Amino acid sequence: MSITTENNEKMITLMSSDGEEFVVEEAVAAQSQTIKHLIEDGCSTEGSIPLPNVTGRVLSEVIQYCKKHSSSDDKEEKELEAWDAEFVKAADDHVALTDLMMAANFLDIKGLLDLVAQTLANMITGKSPEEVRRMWNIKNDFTPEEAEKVRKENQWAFE
Amino acid sequence: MELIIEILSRVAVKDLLRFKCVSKEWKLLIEDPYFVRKHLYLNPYGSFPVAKQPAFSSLQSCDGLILAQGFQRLWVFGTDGTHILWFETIMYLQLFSRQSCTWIFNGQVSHGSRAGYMLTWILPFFDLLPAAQNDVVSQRYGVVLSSTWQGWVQTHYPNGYPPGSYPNEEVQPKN
Repeated sequence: MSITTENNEKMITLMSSDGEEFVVEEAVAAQSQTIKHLIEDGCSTEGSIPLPNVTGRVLSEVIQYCKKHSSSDDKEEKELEAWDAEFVKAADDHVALTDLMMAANFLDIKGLLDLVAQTLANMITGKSPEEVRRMWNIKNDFTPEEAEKVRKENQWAFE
Repeated sequence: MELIIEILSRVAVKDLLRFKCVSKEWKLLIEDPYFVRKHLYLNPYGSFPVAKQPAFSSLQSCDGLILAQGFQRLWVFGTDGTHILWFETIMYLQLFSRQSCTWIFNGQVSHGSRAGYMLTWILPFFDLLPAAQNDVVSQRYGVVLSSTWQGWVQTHYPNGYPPGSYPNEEVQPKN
């Protein structure tokens, strides 16, 4: 399904894992290397591109990011940075950011991956191991003796 | 796991060392040579969590050359060859091994009455870093390894390097 807009922009349809459809300009979608390759390989000619790993909620955020970044040029860098900051702020908690990061990774959108990874890195900076475990439900699989040993070896990092 | 690597490679060394305690998987990852290289690549200038305390005034505004490492001693030289500081006691020291490509850093360092912190992470390959900010609470400190330091050491120590200068042979420069 290949639609063209008034200004002759080629449109493509992206379908999320939960069946939500998004019609976007090809140039916007092609910011995802994964989608770009799919288009190049001719996978988009037959209907929409299914993205089984991305939910509609996340995909709409991703598209928002891609739209912004495909319409801005270099001289707007400052403005774009501010926009990025607002964008990740809106995603708010680490769960939403982690989902977004997984999508950026799957769709291979480097700018978005960098942005979200940096945001999460900033989030865990200064946190204790216990706080980090709680964020991502990580199981502490050290025995008390092992834990004590690792902690001792890196004592200064706890001060 | 791939995503954890992306996040952790953007975290400062001090946090990473603490996060070794999160789980066995995280510890393995943080000590993994591939990860170490990736972290260095992404943070060539930002990996020095230094100068927590304003203890070493002479280090804060100059480029330092971390020349020699040992369990007993650490020498810090200016890039112009001036001898800046010499630390006798180094606590919590872990060394970098070129073979295994694991972390090297100096933990808490005390120097006579001017006890304080100097937390330095030595790059496993030498790299140029920017001058330290003249900011005592800065979390970062640049260390510069001058390409001419070998010559300087030879002039000052014609009979060889001071004992204890090198943790192992591999780090010792070839003449």
